[in-house]
Amino acid sequence: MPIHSKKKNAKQPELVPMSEEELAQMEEHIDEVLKTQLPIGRIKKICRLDPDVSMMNNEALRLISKAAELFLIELGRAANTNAVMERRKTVQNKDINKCIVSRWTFAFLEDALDGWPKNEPKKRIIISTEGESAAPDEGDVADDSVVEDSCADEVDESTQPLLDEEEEEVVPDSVDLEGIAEEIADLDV
Amino acid sequence: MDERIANMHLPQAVVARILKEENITASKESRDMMSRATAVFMLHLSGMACENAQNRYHKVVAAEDVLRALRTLDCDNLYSPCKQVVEDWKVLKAQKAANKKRSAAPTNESPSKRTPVVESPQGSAESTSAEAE
Repeated sequence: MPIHSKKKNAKQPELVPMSEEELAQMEEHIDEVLKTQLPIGRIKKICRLDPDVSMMNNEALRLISKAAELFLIELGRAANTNAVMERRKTVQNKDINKCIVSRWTFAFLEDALDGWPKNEPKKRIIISTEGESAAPDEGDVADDSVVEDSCADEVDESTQPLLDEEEEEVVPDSVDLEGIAEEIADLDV
Repeated sequence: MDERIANMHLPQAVVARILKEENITASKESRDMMSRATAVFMLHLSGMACENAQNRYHKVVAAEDVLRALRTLDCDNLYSPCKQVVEDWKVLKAQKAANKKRSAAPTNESPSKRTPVVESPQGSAESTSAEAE
């Protein structure tokens, strides 16, 4: 602590006393600058994935969230520039890859973006070989570009050849058979 | 552990909104890629900040460690707004501490070691001391 106060004396020779209101205004200004749409809780979880990171200051967390938003914008702009150079309006993966290769700021992403599972819809298992999407019931997560679901990889590879078209319900046949059997029984009676 | 890393991503809606505000049209795949990239960035940044904190013998990662980590990334668009914020925070903290001191010791009007009293606000200092009394 004494070291810090010495530094403060060195860097801030004059401290004009500010009223409470001015302080409140300043705080509001800082809050506005730090405003992000990114959920801080999620960011905290992500940062905690690193085993070395034990405790974080609240300020540090907010700063990281702002930095992340700025990073996203930076990456988006750089990728957009690449897309425009090839006369495209929509950014695609190759634009992002180009950014990573060309700019040092993005160099840490080099091998980091290849092996991810695609964002999967929460409830349904999409098993499609043609890349068609399932029924877009899941409002926030449904993804047209999902080709395979990671769950599908783990669970039922044996069923994949059986199910070629897009399936809306993963209903086993036995249920239908039972229903039909019941109907037949009713008819008999 | 791998599952958690695989599930580490930001909400798609938020990412989409942020990109829309910048008038950036991106395919869903690339949007997903960018949100993953941001998550990796966060992890990377917090790792570097953690190292900085350890080098300074702090247990808790502070805003200045994050700022230093940002500096090494050499990207001014990221660095300068954050630097401004950290500086504002410092001033804010110092002001708050000074205010506390002033309100805690109202009779003591002699200049403290930290804050050389500027002439004009002595009026306000006296008025606050009068209120306290």
